[in-house]
Amino acid sequence: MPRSSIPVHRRWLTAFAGLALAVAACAPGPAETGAGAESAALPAPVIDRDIDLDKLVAAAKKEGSVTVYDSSGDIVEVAKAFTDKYGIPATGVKSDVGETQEKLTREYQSGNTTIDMALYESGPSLVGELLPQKVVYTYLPGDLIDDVPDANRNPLTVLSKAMVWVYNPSVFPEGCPVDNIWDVTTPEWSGKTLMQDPLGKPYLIEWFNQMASGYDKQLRAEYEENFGKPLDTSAESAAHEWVAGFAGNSPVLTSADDDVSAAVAAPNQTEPRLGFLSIAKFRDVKNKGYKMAVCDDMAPFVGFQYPKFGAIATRAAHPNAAKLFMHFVLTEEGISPEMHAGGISGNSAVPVSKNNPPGLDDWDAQLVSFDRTELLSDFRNIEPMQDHWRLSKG
Amino acid sequence: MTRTLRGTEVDPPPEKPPARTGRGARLRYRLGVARREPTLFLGIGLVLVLLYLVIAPLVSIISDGFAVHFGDDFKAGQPVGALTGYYLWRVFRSPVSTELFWQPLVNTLIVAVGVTAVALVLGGFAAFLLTRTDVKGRKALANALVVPYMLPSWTFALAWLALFKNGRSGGQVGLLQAWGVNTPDWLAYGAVPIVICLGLHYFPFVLLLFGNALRRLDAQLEDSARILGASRGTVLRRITLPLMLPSLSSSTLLVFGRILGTFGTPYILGLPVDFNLLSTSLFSAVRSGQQGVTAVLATVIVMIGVAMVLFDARLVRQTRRFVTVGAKGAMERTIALGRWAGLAATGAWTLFALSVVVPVATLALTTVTITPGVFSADNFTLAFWTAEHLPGAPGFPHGVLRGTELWSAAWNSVRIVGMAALICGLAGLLIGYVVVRADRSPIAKVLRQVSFLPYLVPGIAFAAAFLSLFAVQRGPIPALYGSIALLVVTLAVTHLPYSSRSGISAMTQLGREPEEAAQMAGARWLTRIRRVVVPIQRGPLITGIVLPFVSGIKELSIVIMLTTGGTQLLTTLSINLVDYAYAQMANAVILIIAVLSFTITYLTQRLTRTSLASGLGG
Repeated sequence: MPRSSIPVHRRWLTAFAGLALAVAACAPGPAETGAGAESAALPAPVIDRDIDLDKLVAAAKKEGSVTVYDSSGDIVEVAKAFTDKYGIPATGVKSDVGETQEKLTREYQSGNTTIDMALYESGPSLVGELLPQKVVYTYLPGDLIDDVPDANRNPLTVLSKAMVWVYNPSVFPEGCPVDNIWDVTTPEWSGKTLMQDPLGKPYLIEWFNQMASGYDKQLRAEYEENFGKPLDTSAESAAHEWVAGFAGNSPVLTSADDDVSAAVAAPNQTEPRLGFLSIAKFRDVKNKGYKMAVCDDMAPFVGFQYPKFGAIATRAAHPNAAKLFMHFVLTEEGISPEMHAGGISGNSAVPVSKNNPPGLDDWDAQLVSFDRTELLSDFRNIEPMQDHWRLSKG
Repeated sequence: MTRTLRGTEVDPPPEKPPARTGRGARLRYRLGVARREPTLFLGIGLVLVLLYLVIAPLVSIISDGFAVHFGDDFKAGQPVGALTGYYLWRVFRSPVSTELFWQPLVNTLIVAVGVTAVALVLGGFAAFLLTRTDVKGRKALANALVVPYMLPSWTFALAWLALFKNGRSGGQVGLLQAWGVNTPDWLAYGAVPIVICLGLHYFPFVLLLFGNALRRLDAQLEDSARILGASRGTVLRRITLPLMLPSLSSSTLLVFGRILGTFGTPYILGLPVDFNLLSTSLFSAVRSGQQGVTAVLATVIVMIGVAMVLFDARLVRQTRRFVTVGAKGAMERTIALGRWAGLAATGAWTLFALSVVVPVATLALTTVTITPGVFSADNFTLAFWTAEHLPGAPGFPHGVLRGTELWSAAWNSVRIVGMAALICGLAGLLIGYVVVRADRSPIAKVLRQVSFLPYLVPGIAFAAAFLSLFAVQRGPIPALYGSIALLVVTLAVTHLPYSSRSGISAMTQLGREPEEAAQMAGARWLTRIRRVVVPIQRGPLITGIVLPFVSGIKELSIVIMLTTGGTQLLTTLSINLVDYAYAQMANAVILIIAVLSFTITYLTQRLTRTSLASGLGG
């Protein structure tokens, strides 16, 4: 190697580093225009008015198979039920929302599609990215559409699910040890609360944002109720203040709800703990002998209800099978495997699950209700809320 | 052979230029030569392909860091696609830059220094025992102590959790906690366990590199110094260490570089206490769809990797004058351990126990217990291996050996890694061929350097770069995302440096004569490669295939971002199961990978009568 090569390297490095720093110094200006691609109108759903189920089944059979992603493992059972009914091999894959979003997007861009359809739990990124980018589209089967309320159509809500605060009734036989959501920000509960890491779970960030936009008053009132003085904060909203207090109270963050439920409610647990998890985990009460109950008197709410949306990949390799699968999960037969532990179908003709955990009787009154008009603004607030969480975590 | 005669008649001898000049004739002549002696053209082709596969991904990912991506326009205040400093600002200067970059950078340095130190101490100790002392059972020890490297690196992390896990990460606690021993957070998660686990995985690296150098060191040099009156300390400081510096710095940087790109262990042990390395920070940026931030982080990792290797190259260049293998007679001196013999052997075997027996046994135990640490008959079960239906694990509702998931992942692993390894081995041999045959031509020099380039790029950053390049169709090159081709190419390129090294050193030993003899007999180039070079180089070729295979089969950092529904591998299956808190099944899959990797290495060693540890055990 010639002797001069090192100075050349160094010169390049210096130049690059200088350039990098110079550019890094430029903080972004205020977003004045807001005319970005993400604010483009939400594409209209594809309504299959003249649906002929027999023809659809025949076309789907010809395609041979279908692959569906969902963040809940119940999808494996749904896929099995689908295969049993139609004889079309279906694969249900449990996959985190972030992973599903990334794979859907990349598969769409590359044209090598393996995911035909997704049941998807992050409304903001669906409305802000996947739908406007045409990675996926909303499909509504015509024969069921009359039973799908307008509010559930675009994007299509397949199922409403709930996240709730839970405790272990054998550790706390008197009932839930807390009755106010602000309690979990106090030193008494430091290090004793569990939930999935919000940075990995978009719907938790979504919960924070929905609280911030719709529940400011209730949160302030409950703060005063709990601490005897009005909330005095410079934070953007009472929800921001709560998030900061909760994040700073060293909650135990996990990568799966199963770790939350096991730590709170496994038969060998004796520690005083509170968990925030999906009601789907109530299946373990029966399956694994878990001791788990909903904190049903927690004010102002015991949890959050959120929709699981359904969307078909625009470039699906099995488009008809995907449509048939979407039709399937909009029927009672198809969605019931996902409703073992409660849930409300997006199709109003499907009866409400009888398996809602005890104590959770009135979703609208007990849970933060989901305001889908906020989806786009929630999309913009994902990163600020994630950053708020990051910075509040001690 | 009739073709032979015809061949010699038709092709003009290369020494005599044709009488007729002119462009067409010269070209035809050159082509004629090239057909029989295509080394140069082969070299040019290889260089071009490699440059594309190494440089283009890097260019692609670096440029990703400077353009506004979809959905970020309102954050950056610029339209999609515009040139922006937003991502640099976010990573280096914004309020969250500490979480995204600076803290992970500090953590990475801490872990890298720690792991390197642990690996050097353990590996150095083992190398010294095995090469310089009369410790009992050297051969057995030499084989035993390289086993940790055959296990997937995050085996140790899972075993660590199974032992030390406390309430801080939710789920069931580990064995110690279940037995009433409180494990503090610093011991259960974060820097300390990551350093120990990775140290146990990487010390065989140091043992191999350092051990071989130590063995070749002429003991007479040390003796001379002693005779001249130098104390033992002075000899160590002034003679042994300086001579060992090249191998010391190489092993240091090798380990250090690996840490930059390693993913599994820090992901498993860091998450509960929010201890991020650059690699895990990069991964979470990928998973949260932040392409710009991903690009900037990957670029930084690459730059650190490159800086390290340049530093190493400088260090080695300065010390190259010290030759440890001379033409003069060398002496090996083994130190009689005397009364220390027992202690030394115990120490070495303890190291083996800690780095192999304990983790594997712990993991095996977890796969047959329902609640960790409870030893009653009803707590033991084979359900996680063989049950037809497992309640409470809806995402994977049966034992790992049932259903299709494990088998299709295993088939994918064998198939994809096998193809990559095959490409690696053949490409390595060809590179060796060109580098040795076209010696002195600039192409050989360039090829030697270029084939080494992937070595500079830490695995996970390379994966991010490949993801960026092959996400969409570019010109004639189709989008590879979602296809097994992407995995094959990425694995092949990242493992090429090892194969090309072995290819080059093997070809150096093969003279031109056998090939020239075949050429005289009229064999064309392909025939010569097929019938002469490959058979002679069978041993190195197999090594050049097996080493990437063994390393690839337990590879996670590179493949974690690239697998899709149809291309699930054993390693990604295992990490998915970890994510879904199906600990028993995750551990079962890891054991399967470990057994697979160990068996293949062992079989190859038996078949080719080579050994990773060859020479170490005296």
